Amino acid sequence: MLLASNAELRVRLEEAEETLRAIRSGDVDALVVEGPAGSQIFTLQGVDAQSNQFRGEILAQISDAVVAVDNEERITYLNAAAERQYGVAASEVLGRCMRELWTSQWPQETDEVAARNALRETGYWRGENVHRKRNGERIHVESAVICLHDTAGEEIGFLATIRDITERKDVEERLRRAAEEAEAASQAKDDFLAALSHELRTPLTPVLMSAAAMELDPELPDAIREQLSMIRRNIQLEARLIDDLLDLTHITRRTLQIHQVVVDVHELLGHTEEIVRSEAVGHDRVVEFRLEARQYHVIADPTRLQQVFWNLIKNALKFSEDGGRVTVRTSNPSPHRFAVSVEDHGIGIAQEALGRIFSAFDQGELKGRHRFGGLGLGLAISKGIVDLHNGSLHVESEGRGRGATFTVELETTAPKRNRESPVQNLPARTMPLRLLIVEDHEPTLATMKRLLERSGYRVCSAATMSEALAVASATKCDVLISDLGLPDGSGLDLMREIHQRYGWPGIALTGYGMEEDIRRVTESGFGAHLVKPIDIAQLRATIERLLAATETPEEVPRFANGAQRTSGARSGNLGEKAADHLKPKKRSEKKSTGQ
Amino acid sequence: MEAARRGQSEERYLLRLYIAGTTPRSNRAIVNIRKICEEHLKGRYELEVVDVMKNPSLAAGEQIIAAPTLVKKLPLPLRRFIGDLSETERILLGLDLRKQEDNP
Repeated sequence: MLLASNAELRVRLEEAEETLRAIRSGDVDALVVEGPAGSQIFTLQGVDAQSNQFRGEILAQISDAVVAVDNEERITYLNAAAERQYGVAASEVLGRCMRELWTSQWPQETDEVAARNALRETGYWRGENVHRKRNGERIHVESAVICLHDTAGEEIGFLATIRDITERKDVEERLRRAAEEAEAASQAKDDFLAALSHELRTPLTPVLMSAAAMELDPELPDAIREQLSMIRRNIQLEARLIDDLLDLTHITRRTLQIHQVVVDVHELLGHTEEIVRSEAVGHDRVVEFRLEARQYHVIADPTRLQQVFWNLIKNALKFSEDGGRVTVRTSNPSPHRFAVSVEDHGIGIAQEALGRIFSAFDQGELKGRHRFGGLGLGLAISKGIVDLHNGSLHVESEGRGRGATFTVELETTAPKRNRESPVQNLPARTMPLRLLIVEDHEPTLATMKRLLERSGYRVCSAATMSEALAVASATKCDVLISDLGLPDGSGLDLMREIHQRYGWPGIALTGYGMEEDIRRVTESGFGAHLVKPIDIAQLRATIERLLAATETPEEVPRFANGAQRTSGARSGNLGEKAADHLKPKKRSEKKSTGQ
Repeated sequence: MEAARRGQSEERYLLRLYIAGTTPRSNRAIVNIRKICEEHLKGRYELEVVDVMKNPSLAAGEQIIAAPTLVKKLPLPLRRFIGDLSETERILLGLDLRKQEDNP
């Protein structure tokens, strides 16, 4: 008993001595002194105390979590931000394993290995991963980790600065999803527009073909033929509006394709003049062409360029007063530059509206826009097309009521005439050609059959792919003319079959007019592609051209290219055909551009 | 040594560490004592950390006169250790986790 209390006393003395020794040698931070006012704390300032405090305050202020661990990954330090981030108190977790604070989740297992390797080899790693906290919550973090060394250079653990980027990641994720949704919506809109144009155009085909054919029928009275001409023009106008919508979609999505060749712009403007004359019927307005440029060849897509000129002239006519004059002038503003300007003396453009005149759905001023009609897409489309040609399209106006001048500028090139189209000098045939037409839209099929038969062809018809294959096995035909969307398959598959079995050339008919379709059409073996509504004269020319190409094999590559050109021909081409129909005499006088 | 351990294995430890704010020494003291506990007393200890700066009166009852100080409250007898607790062997001895003869 006595021994035990002796031992206890000795221990107590030792403790007291130790306390004194610790205080003397500066091993303590603070002393607690009992006084009349209760306990008082005296902090002891060691040699490093000030700098330690400074460092401590900095680390406490940092908003990123800072955590240090030793070689066994036991936590040796964490700042206030780390306490908040992981919902712990330093006193609870110091000395505990890092894994008790969080577990790291890596996108891939190899990422963790790579991080550890980097840390071992370079003493540094920086990257992102997910921390699963003790309460199960997951946070996205961005960490910078460095190795810690003692004064002898031995590794004693590492220090990590960990930033919670969950919010940023969430925002990024939301943005990414929003972009995806917007992209999908935009895609859906494009698909809808394409489908809509197909649906709107399909019924126009038989009407247009019948009207065009009857318009040329000399047995009909002139008064009726004039009415038919009006019907045809209005159908073409509607087709053009649909085309504008499609073109604009392609321009905004940067998917509009242009097929560039050397173009004689003066010759092209000659065709434009014909269209203008035919379209300006009923308008008391004059369009004057002054082709004054000395260099007038450019590299361009002629169909698209014609579309631009036509848009600008149409616009100038639209905004001119009755009796007004529109001047189309060409010039070379500087060597190797070619300019086409379209000048009117109409209502002009307010200064503040000049900047947004090329935006879609903007006609300068909303007030009174119905007076002028149209969707107001022409200038936006023209600008998009000229941009694709690396040219410029700009507008000048001295203000309201003072007219406007639109100028297209392009780089010139050396003239290089294309060879004349062999359509002009086809050998006379002895045997009538037999065509196989596949189309599931019954009125279109019937009209095409009738019109082509009237043109001297023998016509077999089918409404489905299987029907077409049955007809093909029984009757030898010269050309396949097929719609792309058939009830029991695709016109593309049909073409492949026919081409493989019989080697007949083919013409695709489609309302889509999408560039992707055109590519697939050429790949599947179609030699040409026509966009509905189909003009019978255009179809005839294409049939003849296709056969001429198959009869002279060395011409095939050129005609494959020609087929693509035809497929791109839309509003401009329709307009040109209109001119052809109205002025059959003029056509024989003029040289064809091969369209 | 195994026998000694087995004899002690049922005893629960109640430790209280008094520190003065978030100084490096306080930090070290916590790390060191928790390391010892995790290695030798895993699952049968309770470590309470008290900051005398925040709560001076708590220190008075224990007759604490300096920080950091570790107090072994259980098992009895009470023991005190001053400083950052980095001398592991001395602490193990004081906590009755090493018999004298265990020392090499």
